[in-house]
Amino acid sequence: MNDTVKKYVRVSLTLGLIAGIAALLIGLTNMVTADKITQNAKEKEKNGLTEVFTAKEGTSYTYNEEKDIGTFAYIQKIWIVSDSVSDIGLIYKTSGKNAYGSVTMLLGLSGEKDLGKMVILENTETYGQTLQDNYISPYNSATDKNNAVADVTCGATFGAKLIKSMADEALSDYLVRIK
Amino acid sequence: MANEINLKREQHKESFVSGIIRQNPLFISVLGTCPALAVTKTLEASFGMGLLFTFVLVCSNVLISLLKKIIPEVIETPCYIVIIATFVTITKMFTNAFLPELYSTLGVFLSLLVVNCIVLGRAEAFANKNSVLDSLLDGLGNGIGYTLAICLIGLVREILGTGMLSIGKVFTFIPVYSLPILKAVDGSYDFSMSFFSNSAGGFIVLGLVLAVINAIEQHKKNKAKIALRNEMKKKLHEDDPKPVYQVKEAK
Repeated sequence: MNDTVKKYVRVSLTLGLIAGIAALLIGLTNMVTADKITQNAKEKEKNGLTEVFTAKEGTSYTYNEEKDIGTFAYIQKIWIVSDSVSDIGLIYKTSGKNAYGSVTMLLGLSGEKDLGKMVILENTETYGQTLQDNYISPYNSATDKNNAVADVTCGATFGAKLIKSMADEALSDYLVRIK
Repeated sequence: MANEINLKREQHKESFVSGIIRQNPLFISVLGTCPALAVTKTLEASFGMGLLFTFVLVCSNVLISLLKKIIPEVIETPCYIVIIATFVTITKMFTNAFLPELYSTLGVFLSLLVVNCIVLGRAEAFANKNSVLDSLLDGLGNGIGYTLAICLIGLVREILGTGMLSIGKVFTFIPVYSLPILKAVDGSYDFSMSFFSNSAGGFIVLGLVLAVINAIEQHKKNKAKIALRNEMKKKLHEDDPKPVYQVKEAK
C-alpha cells in the first residue's frame, strides 16, 4: 500500500469512528428522551387547546378531533370545540416552514368567521421571540381579533407572513365547513 | 519529583482559572457575543444557556482531547464540528425532554452552539494539544467564565428592562418568585425601560459592561506604570545620589 492510499484509509477510518461514536451517543440519548419529548408535545397541545377558547368559570369545553380532514398545505389537525349545549367553533393545528425555520400553531375560529387566540406550539425561527412579542402577544390581547390581524399583516417579518398564510388556509376551510 | 507534581498542579489550576476572569471568553476575548445578546433577556435564561454551554464545551473538549492522537491534521476541523454537533444534539434532546421551557426560550440559539467560536476555538487552541484532565478543566473554567459573563448581562437587562427579577419561569421546578426592584407591586412607580429587553438594549448593556471592565483594566495598568516609574526614580536616586555642591564666594 502506498502512502496516499494509507492516508485515505486512515482518514476514512477516523471519520467512520467519529461518526460511530456520534451515532451511539445520540442513539442512547434518543432512547432515554424520545418518550418524554412526545409526552411533552402532547401535553403542550392539550394545554394549547384550552387556551384558544377560554371557557367561562365553572364550565369546560370538549375537544373532538376530526378524522380524515383531507390534504392541506398547512392544516394538520382539526378539533370541534363544544360545551354542554352546542358547538363553539373549530381549532386548527397548522404547521409551516420558511427559510428561517418552522412554526406550528393552534388557531381558533368561531361564529361567522371570528378568529380566536393563536397559540404557538413550536417556533424554530431565528427571530422566534420577535414573532411572539410583536405579533402573537398583541394579537392575543386585542379585543377585536379580526381587526388586530388587519393591523399586523404588513409583512414586516417573514414569520408574520407564514402565520398569515396558515391562518388564511384555516379560514378558507372554516368558511367551507360552516356553509 | 515533588517539583514535577507541583508544576502539574499549577498547570491544572491555570487551565481552570484562566478562563474564568483573566481570559474570560466574552469580556476579554469578546467571543460568543451572538448568544450573549440574544438569550440574555432574563437572568434565568442566561443561567440556563451558560449551563448548557458549559456541558457542551466540557464534553467536546474531553472527547477531542481523547481522540487527538488519531485525528489526522487534514480533517481536524470537520471532526471537531461533528463532535461538537453531537453534544449539542444531545443537549437539545435532554433540554427538550426535561426542561421544555428552557428549550423554548433558547430556541434556535441552542442549535447555534454548533458554530460557537468559543467551543471550536478551545478545541483547536487547547484540547488538541493538552491532556484530558487539563482539557476538562479548561472547558469547565471557560464555561463558568462565560456563564458568569452572560448572567451579569442578563441580570442588568432584566432589572432595567422589566423592573424586576424573576425566577421559576424557565426552570419550572422552582416555585415562581418575582422581586420588584425598579417598579412597585401596586403600580405607584415604574422606572423600567422595556428598551433593554430588546436586542438594541442588549448591545448597549454589553458595550457598557465592556467599557467598565476596560476602564478598570486601564486604571490598574496606569497604577502599575506609576508605581514602576516611582520605583525607577527611587532606584536611580539611590544609585546616583545628587552631587553635593560647594558654594564659594566669588572674588
